[in-house]
Amino acid sequence: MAITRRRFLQFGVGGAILLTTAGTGARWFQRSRRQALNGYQQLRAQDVAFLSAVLPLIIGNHPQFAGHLNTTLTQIDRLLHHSSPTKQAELRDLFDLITFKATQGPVTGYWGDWTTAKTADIQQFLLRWRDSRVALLRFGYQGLCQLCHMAWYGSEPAWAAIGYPGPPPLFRSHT
Amino acid sequence: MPVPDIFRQGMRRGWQVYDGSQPLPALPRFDVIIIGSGAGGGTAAEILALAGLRIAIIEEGSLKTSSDFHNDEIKAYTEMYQEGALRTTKDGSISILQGRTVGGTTTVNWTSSFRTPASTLAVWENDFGIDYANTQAMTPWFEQIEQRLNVQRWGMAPNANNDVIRLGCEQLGWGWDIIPRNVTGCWNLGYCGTGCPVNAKQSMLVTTLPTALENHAVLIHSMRAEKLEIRGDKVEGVHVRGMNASLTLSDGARSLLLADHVICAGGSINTPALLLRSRAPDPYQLLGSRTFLHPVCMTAAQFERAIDGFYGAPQSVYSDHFNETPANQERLGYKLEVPPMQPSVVAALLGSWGNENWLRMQQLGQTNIMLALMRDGFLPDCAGGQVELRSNGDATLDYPFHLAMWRTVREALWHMGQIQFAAGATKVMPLHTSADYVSSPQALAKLLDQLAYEPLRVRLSSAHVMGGCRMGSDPKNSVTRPDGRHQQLQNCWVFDGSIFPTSVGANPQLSIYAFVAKLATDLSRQLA
Ligand SMILES: Cc1cc2nc3c(=O)[nH]c(=O)nc-3n(C[C@H](O)[C@H](O)[C@H](O)COP(=O)(O)OP(=O)(O)OC[C@H]3O[C@@H](n4cnc5c(N)ncnc54)[C@H](O)[C@@H]3O)c2cc1C
Ligand code: SF4
Repeated sequence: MAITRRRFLQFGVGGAILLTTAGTGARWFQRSRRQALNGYQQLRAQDVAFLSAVLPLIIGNHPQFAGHLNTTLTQIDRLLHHSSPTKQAELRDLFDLITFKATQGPVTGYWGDWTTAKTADIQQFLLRWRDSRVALLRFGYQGLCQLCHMAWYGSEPAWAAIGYPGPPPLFRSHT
Repeated sequence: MPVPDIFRQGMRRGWQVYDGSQPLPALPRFDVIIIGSGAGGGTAAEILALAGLRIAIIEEGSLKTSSDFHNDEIKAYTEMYQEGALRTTKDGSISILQGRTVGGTTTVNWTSSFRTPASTLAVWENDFGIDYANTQAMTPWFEQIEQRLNVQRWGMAPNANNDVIRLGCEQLGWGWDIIPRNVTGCWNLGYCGTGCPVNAKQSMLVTTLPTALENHAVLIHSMRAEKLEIRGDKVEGVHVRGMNASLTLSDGARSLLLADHVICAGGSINTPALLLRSRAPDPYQLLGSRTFLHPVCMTAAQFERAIDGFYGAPQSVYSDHFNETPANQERLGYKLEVPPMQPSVVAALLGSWGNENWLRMQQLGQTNIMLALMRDGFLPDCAGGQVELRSNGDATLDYPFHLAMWRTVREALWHMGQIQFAAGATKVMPLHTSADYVSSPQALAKLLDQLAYEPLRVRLSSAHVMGGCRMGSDPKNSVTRPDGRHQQLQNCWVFDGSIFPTSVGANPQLSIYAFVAKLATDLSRQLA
């Protein structure tokens, strides 16, 4: 779901004001920070910072996760890299909305720096989006959580703790 | 490599297989160009090549064969699915799985092989004027394909995930049956969705495409048909362009391939999009409309016994107890099945976050998921979705949910929960953003009363996209004629799931194979 001006207007006055004030700034901001971070194909510095902050909370107490933040980020990057220009743009827009100063506070309810966000702040943000009347935010919630879960549980270190022995060894990739 | 890779062996014997992202050799004019190598494209390729016609098959996905299949979910999703398995409807509310690889969706599908229900054929014959859409005329074609792809009722014991349907339905006195599958020497591994590593699945990759290639067909993969070159009422050729390495866009070398006839077989969504990009005549504005999804809603259930649904034939038991559209048309019909339970996709489906998701995932081995495939397109207000083009020419599907669908979702969640409890589940959870597991049918009933039935709250997905270029005898109400030819374009044919005027009401592959076998055979007689 592309975050276009028209869509925002459908969300009512709050959304409309938000976009008019943030619009120009956001576009400039996107242009200036559109480069993928070194080592990634899609994720930019601000995306990696945000995801690194929320991933531990989205994954929960899985005992193996702590050592595999980077594996998971790489898997997310890989999923995005092979998707489509549309999906890549949707996710970029979403991360912009979440990390751009003018929009972050009003849409996420959290105004501080994501890298120092407390568990409660992130919980609040996820709940707010999950239960939002605005379909776009519910889409953001679902997209974000799904991507994180797919990426982590698609990685071998996640499997032992959930009782998944993995594919039969005969067929595993030996690269 | 546990089994011979028959595709790579064929290539070593001299099959004409080219990578469209690399420079192409000079190619002759073809009798027929087929766009898409999936269920429809593969079936047509075999028939036309055996008839001695000179054909080329264009496929935007890359070539992956059994030695590339390692049962790795992320690898498969990123390499072999449309939009890397992240495709959704326009508003993001329904996830859409389709293949993007040589063999199309058949390379990653789950092998369930049902004939088109008689009640569906009747609608196609009576309401859309497709005069051969009846059991009598279609039976020989179903039989021919069943033989070709070795379709048989699954003979081994169903895995415990599928057995939940049998057990629950038996307890409740509801109908169920064993699923016929298109496999030969199946190892019962359960990884059909990531590509069969032992070539047991009789997908197009190991059946019709090899025959076509043996008979001098040319296959160009990693190459997208961007546009048809149309002059008047004829297609003169196909503008193609090589794909990039991640298969997200066609930014490689361009060429124009020439042919006397063109068959569009890119599957629903992509075939209508190709025709839209080509500005194909569409005097009644029908192109891309009536696109159907068999939208799926799901319930998860936890058991005290091992389910281990990540192993074993992914689909082997189904229930059609609710699959007929009721006479009062209050709800849609829905077919009940289960999905395979590999962890990446299951984690995304089980939802929530943090410890709630982690607790759910810890029970993966004891968890069953059941799904209801809604039979869209049969009620008067059930007109399906509309394919649209994005500004870059890519396709998207606008698919609204109407009231009877939400009513069906609610009823299906309830019936699936009942089956799971009857089969011994200790807890059941509708897949909905505000739902958690509940421990009794009473609690489930109460929960279902409280939930909001809205997009992006109920978890919805689709692996069966159909329609968008519907056939029919009335040019004012159809994109293609009953013989599959485009209503306005003399030498352009659509041979894939997009020709169906409603959803199928059963997993669609066998319907596509059988209809295309008939239409391609008729065409080959015409051209020979
Ligand atoms: C995970 C999954 C499981 C399934 N399981 C079952 C099952 O058990 N039983 C069943 O009956 N059905 C199943 N299906 C559905 C079934 O496989 C499909 O409905 C069927 O394969 C569709 O056939 P098709 O010919 O319309 O298109 P496809 O088989 O999808 O083939 C279309 C091909 O065309 C290519 N293409 C598209 N546009 C272009 C272009 N412009 N240029 C070049 N190439 C292009 C695509 O990349 C694709 O490879 C499943 C689907 C999925 C996703
Ligand atoms: S279940 Fe059978 S057909 Fe499917 S991947 Fe395993 S061996 Fe192949």
